Amino acid sequence: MNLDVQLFRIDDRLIHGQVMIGWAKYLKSERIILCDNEVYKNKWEAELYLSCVPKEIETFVFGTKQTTEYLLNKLLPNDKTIVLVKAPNVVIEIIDAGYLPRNINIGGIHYIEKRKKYLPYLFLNDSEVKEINYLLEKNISIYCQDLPTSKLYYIKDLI
Amino acid sequence: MSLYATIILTHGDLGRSLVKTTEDIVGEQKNVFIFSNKKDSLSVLTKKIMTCIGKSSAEKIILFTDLKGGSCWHIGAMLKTQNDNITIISGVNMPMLVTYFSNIYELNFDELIRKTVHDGCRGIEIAGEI
Repeated sequence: MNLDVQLFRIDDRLIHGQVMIGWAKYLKSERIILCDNEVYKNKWEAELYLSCVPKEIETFVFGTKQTTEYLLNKLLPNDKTIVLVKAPNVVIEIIDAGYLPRNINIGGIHYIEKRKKYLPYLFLNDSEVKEINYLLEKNISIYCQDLPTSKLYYIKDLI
Repeated sequence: MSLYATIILTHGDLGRSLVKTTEDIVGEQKNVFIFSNKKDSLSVLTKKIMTCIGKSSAEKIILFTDLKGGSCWHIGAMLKTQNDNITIISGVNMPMLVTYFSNIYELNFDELIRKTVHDGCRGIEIAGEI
């Protein structure tokens, strides 16, 4: 059985106010892993995200491969790490590489064309719904909650 | 062609309210474009702002955002890498906008930006004792 992180979050804005001021403070997080293959390859963009994190929190910008390796080998019991990914398909890549999260928080997937609205911060297209159903079949508990103080919705009740 | 285009990019309805309320003091302003991150993905929002900048054909773009490090600020920082004419000011507040709009045709660009930021900071203080 895999060890868990504090928060495994799908949020297309990655590191931003809700994560840093909302979740990281509430959870007393010690570490953030930003998992995105594009940001990982773009040094400048990675630094832009890193510049937004207070010094006390260790931050890694990783691709899917490095993230999975970290999750499989470096996690400790009660690990105070937040993992951020942009979209459900990234979670599938991580699962395929060998790490299965038990819980996933959806914090924000915003509007682009062909996405349908489910919550003010949740818009999904057909293939994203399929990807989420695939994750649900893996017995992952998936809930939508933008902030620790906001109402929690289980995605299975929405899609 | 206008010299400046002003973009206010914030969370929620803050930008709209800030501009509207500031205009109650300094009068209606031209070439002000307001955006919110409420609904759109960052890619959609970035595209909208780029279109707006293109259409404005202004010499300088002044982009105000609220939280430094937030998603609005992030969009601004990304846009700036592609366009040297953009200046980003974070922490937008009412004192800042009052100064900015009151001096937009009075000062040269550098002075305008410096005074705007200075007055935005100066507007924050504790009245009397704690």
